[in-house]
Amino acid sequence: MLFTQIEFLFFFFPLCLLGYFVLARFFQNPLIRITWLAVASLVFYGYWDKHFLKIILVSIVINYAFSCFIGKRDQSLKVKRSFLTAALLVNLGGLVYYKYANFGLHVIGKIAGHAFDPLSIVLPLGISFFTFTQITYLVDVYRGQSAEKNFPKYVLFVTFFPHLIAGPILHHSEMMPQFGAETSRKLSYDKLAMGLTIFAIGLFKKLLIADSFALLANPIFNQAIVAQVPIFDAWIAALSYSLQIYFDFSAYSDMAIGISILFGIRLPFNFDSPYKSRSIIEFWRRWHISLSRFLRDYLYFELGGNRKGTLARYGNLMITMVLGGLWHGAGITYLLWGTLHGLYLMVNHGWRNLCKKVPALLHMSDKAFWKVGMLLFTQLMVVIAWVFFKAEHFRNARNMLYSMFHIGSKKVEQTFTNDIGLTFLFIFAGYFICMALPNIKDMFKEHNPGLEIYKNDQASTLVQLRWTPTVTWAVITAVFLLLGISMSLIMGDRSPFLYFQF
Amino acid sequence: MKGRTEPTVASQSKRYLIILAIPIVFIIGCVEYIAALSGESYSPQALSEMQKADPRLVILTKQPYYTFKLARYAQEKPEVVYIGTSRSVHVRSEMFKPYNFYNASLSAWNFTQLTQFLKLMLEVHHPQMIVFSLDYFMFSHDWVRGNRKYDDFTYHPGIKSHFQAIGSVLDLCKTSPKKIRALLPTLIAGEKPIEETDHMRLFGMHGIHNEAGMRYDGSFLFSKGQLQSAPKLTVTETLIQAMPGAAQMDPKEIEAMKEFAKLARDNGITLVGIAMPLFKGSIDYMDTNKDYWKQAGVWREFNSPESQQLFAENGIHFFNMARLKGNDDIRNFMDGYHPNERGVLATFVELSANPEFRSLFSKLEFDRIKKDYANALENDQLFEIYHDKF
Repeated sequence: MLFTQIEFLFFFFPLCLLGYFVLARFFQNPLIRITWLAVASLVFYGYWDKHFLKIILVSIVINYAFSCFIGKRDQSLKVKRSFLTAALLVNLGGLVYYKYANFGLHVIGKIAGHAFDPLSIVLPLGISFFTFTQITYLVDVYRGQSAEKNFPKYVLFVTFFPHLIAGPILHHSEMMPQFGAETSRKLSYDKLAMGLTIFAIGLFKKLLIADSFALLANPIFNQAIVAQVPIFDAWIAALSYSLQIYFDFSAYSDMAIGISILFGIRLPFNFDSPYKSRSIIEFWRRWHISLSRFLRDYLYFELGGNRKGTLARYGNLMITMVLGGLWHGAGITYLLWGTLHGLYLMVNHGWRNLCKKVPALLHMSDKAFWKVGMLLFTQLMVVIAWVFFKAEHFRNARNMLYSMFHIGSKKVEQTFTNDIGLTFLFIFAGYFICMALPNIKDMFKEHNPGLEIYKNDQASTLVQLRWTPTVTWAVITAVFLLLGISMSLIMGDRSPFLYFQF
Repeated sequence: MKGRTEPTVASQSKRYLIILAIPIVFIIGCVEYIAALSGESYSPQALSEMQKADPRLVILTKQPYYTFKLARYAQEKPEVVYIGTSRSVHVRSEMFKPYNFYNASLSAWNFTQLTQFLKLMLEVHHPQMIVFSLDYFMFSHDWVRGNRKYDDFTYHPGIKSHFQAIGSVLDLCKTSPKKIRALLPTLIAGEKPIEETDHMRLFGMHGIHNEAGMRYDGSFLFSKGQLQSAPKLTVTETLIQAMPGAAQMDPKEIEAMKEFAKLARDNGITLVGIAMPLFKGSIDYMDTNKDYWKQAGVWREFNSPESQQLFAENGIHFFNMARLKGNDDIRNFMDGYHPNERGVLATFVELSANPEFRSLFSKLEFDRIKKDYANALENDQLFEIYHDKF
């Protein structure tokens, strides 16, 4: 089920919310409403394809069992380690099978010069998210940081529907105490007002903004599968896709937080105005924050982080980012996207070290022109990388980049954009929203709708907006909600979030 | 003196929620009203009744085609019914006279769906004969997979179709506000909006918007704009892009075909499979293109004597008209794989020379069909040859 889908908006969500608070009203025992929410989340997941339900249930049961074995107090460290290794193998094995088997076959086929028929595997939705969530949990149980005995609570931790398909990747320490807490027993008017407003903003962002940019980007990227495209079209497509994925993911994150807050549960902020970043390091602290945290804490640090010298640090960075790229999907383009970001990070860290050694550079980085320049340069690098992320295959990305930078001699005349000036104005407006307006975290600062899992410096915001339950905000929210619902009714099931496929 | 008390957060939020709800309830109410009046939220049965009462009515709402087709089928109880893909939407009842005929095309894209649709048909009426689209791509795994979303057809769509109806009205508000404005006086007066076009009467927001819809005999009326641009689409690649090939016929689909044929046989229904013409350029591509050779395996296997034998063994009278004489004339097509009304008429003229077809449809007015085709050629008519004749 999609958050933008009729079934969700008009049936699942209202019924789920109603059931939750009716049960909370009549039953003191938190287990009842936890179980309700867990079952509802499984219904939400199973609505896509009932076959997926079996996969996630098997994964939950196996991981819960492993967590019990690993968490046993009288267990020796060696046995615990063996269980953890087995659990990781099972989890990663499942992920590799469902997500990477066909890619692997394709690569082996290319090397061997023999094309293998692809296996008939359907990728279960959100497998990367629920696998990583559980791996995090198992590792922490092994470290002695957690051990959840309550099975329904564990099921809810993995399946809680606002995060299940596209994150954030939850950390048990942040979520477990909230499930069944007394604060989540009553739905207050202020929570309802705040939750609906955040949800409406997300709905509007997704269906009115992100999907509009998709209409600009998709036909041009599709054309670039077979040939180069005119330079303006190429830039329109690249910038539009950058804005599409930004608003798409931002919308999902907002909607997840808005929905959660109605259940009295605060999800981590997973998105913090990443296009306001003035470096790639900062970008990764603002984009998909929970994934960055996972990669840092459970991969980069485990590899040794920066403890073994500069060279090893760069190597670890590169490995982390390449795997981060592949986490998004099995394909050469994802690999290249991850590699590119690995390179960016290496250069960024190198530059920082240089700045520390050369005071003039450090001084310059405080100047306004430098900040603006860095903002634009970071954005350019991000856009170039997005071309790989979006492209169907390498040739598609190559055609796009050649077109963007006018490389190659192929003369292309047919343009896909009716009014280039107006289109660029639209793109400019998109970037203005990204760079000048506050995000949900800033707008609702006083109301605390989410958890801040990474303490970023306040990003610069030209326009200050603070939400309060005033008439003006009610009217704005009504407009957002109306337009969002209208688009949802028009689009039907045709507007999935980009991060659903990962 | 009592001082004014500051509003609490709860009361502020309560007021906020009320203000938020008012415009939403009002606008959704308005859209519901339009949907109710314009036919968008009518049940398929109600739409079917309307068309029965007024055969010039061309109906198109955003509801799935097959629900309306099933309702019309239940109402007409035809002797001969055509089911299948969009390749047969131009088959007209005049081509099957004097049989009581209904064209229920756009109801099934693969054999599983054909079986499903047939089961539903049998619940209300047993036709004597079913003519169905039988094409090579129906045995391609990718085609079947690509159309799998239709496997969960709900022939009684329920509440979801109501939301689709509302979406259809909103869509029209977005894409064609002028049209909505033009219809407003009619809607405010509480009357059904019906648009006259070329002696036909369009009903349903979707139909009015697209100037298209389903005629009384189940055939599809396309908009003038779409018909004008049709020849431009007749390029070789359209078939290849739209209909995925395969190295061979998928055994699973062969089994599904057998199941469909058995269901028809068990119910005493004669099955006639027709492969409608394909544009010659498309066929040549499949026959000769080296890059597409492997993917064209399913096409070659479909045309093989073994497949003809397979169809015959399962009681299917198969007429492969893909290589129809005149399939090199783009004016017989809407694109690389959709014959237009003249193309379909040409198919029937050629079928009239086939003794097996003649014996199956002994009552057909073959001479009149030939005359109609000759007239269409003479008058250079590609579409609307039978116009409002049913």
